[in-house]
Amino acid sequence: MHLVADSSIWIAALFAQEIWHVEASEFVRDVLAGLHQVAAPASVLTEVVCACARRCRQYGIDRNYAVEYGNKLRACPYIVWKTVDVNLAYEAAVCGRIHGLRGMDALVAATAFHYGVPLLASDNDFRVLEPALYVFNLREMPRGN
Amino acid sequence: MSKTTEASSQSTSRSAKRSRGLRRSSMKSESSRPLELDEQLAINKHIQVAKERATWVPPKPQAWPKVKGWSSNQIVKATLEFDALVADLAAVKMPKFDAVELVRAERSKNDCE
Repeated sequence: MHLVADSSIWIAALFAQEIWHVEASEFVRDVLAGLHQVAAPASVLTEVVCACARRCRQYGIDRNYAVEYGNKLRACPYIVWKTVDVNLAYEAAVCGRIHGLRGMDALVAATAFHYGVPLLASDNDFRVLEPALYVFNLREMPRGN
Repeated sequence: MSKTTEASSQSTSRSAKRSRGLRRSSMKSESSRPLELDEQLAINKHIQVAKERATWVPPKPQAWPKVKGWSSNQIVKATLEFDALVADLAAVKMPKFDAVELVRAERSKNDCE
C-alpha cells in the first residue's frame, strides 16, 4: 500500500511507553519488510529525531538512540523522503490556508496530495481534509494489503 | 372526589397548553429576530470557508517514485535492529505518553520561539 505517514506514527513506533506503540511498531516492521511504501516530507525526519532525542534526554537515555533511529528510517528504501522545495512549500501553504492546518501538518498533507495517496495519522487534526483526502489512523488501517 | 380530580386535571392540561403556547411564541420571536451584524458576518465567513473547501482542487497527483527494494537478508537485519532499538528503550522506566501530544507540544514550542 502507498501512503503518507505523519511524524507521530514514527515516534510511537520507537517507544514502548507510547499508547499507539503496538500498532505503530507493527506498521514500521511492515514498512521495513516492504509491505507498505510510505512518503513523508523530509521535515518529518527532523521532527521525529528531535522529538525522540528530547524524550531520551528527559529520561537520561543516550540521545544517539534517536539519531540511530533516524539513520534507519533514512536508509529504508520503502520510505520516500520528499524534498521540501519551494513548490511543495507553496502547495502546503495553499492547502494549509484552505483547511486551517498548522505549518508542519500542511507539509504532510501537501505530500499526500502530491502523490494522491491516503494519509495515516493518529491525529484528528487531519480529518478536516476529508473527503478530498482519505485519512485514517493505525486502528483503521486496512489489513491484508 | 372524582369531580375534583377531573377539574384539577383539566386545569393542569389547560396550564400545560398555555405554557406550550408561550414557549412556541417565544421560539417564534427568537427565530424572527433579525441577526446582529457580527452574527451575520460569522455566518458569511462559514459559508465562504465551505465554498472555498468545496471548490478547491488539489494538485494533480504525481507518479510514485521507483523504489529499489531490499534483499530478504537486509529486511531481516533492519527488522532485528529496529526490534533491538525498541527493546533497549522499553527497558527504561518512563510514563506512558501520547506521541500526538508530544508532537503538538514540540510544534507549539517552535511556534512560540
